[in-house]
Amino acid sequence: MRLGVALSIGFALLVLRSTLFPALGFASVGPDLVFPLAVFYGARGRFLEGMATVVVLGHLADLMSGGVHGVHVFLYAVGFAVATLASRRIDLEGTLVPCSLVFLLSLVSSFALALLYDLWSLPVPGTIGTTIWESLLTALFAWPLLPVLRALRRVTEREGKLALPS
Amino acid sequence: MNISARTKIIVVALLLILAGWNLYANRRDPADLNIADRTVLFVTAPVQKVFSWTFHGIGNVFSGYVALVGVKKENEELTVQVAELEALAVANRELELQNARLRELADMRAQLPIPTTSARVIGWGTSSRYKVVRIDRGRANGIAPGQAVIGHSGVVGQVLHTSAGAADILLISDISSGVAARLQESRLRGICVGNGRWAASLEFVARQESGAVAEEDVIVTSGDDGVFPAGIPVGTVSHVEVGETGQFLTVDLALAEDLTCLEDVIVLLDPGAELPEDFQFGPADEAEAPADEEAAAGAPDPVESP
Repeated sequence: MRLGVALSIGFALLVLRSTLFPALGFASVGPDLVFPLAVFYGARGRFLEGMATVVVLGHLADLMSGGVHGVHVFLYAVGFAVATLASRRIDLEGTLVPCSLVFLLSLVSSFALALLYDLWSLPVPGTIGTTIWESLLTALFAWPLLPVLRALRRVTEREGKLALPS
Repeated sequence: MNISARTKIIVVALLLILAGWNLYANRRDPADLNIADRTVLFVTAPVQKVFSWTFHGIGNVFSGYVALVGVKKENEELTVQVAELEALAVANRELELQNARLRELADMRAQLPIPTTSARVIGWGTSSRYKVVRIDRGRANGIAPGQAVIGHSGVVGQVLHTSAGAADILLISDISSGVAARLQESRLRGICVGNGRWAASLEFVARQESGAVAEEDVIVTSGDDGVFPAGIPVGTVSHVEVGETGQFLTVDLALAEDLTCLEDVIVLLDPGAELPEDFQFGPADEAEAPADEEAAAGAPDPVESP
């Protein structure tokens, strides 16, 4: 059930990204709305549940992006992994730190992806400009998204049905 | 369940290795969808369609009515009735444009001597890295990966994935897109490759004496790729320069089809089909439109004005 709630939120964010955001002018470069979820899970989440969420939502994002399968699973896995390993040093309260973290991790995972593609001698999807813009927008949209995730976590904690990371 | 830090590191490392391996395994064949993936596409497409219609409707209401409310406040003499009439006029104009667009598509479909189906764009790819749109027709309508997709003005892209009721289209501006094309005047051939934004370039054009390629020259499909019939407009030359090796020209082009506001497209169901030599791309004039009712019957129905 907890996993179901997280996946539903992720799916809703992907649908919004593919329908509402292009209408708002984000057709070319837009935020990755699921990435903050992966970072949030990594930094404050239940580990196994977070990992399952990251893999399933990554696969769903791959399907809905129309790109090469595995790209988003990889990006979210990197974001989740770095956030998990650094979780003891990260304070996700407030606004500036979590948004900066999302921005940095988004850049880190994109560079990791570019590195892999370079190793395989394949054209790297996206440009440096696209990557930076997307990371900035992702961080910007993480600003309203993270408090919502925190609020949902508190609600589900109160009801004893923890749906999101504690 | 408490998991030690060391276990976490090991599991996270495994996750990264598996994610990398998964990416490596899929890096060359994006069209290969298994039945579970096709099912996910089948289930998610209607949700996207509903959201797309909803947001489109809200946008229409906002531009056609809410904005007018603001005008009314600035101009006290305007009555609510006038605002409603204005809103109706905006809605009528929108329908008029939609009708014109759909008629153009219907005319074009009637002209094309090969089997086609028309479709509406219901969603855009969720990643900024790829240029992909989703349409509301799929395998049930005869659409299959690899088929060519065109718009009112020229090439749009190629079918990438399909499910029963939806399909993903790789736009010509995506960096992994490649379309065999040639310059209409000089007949020089090349490969049209997307730049990842909203334009493309014609690569591997043999270097010629100065003047062989000029700005505003028209580029059309050559038909060499077995996907697009020859003669469909791709774009016009916007800039020419000699490539790094000195052997080829790199020709930047402005695409014929405006991909930023794509709404309706035509899918050519028979890859590799050829168009007659005298075929003129674009909507037919009413006087010249052939009375091919059978072909036009499958085209989208124009919307009636309120």
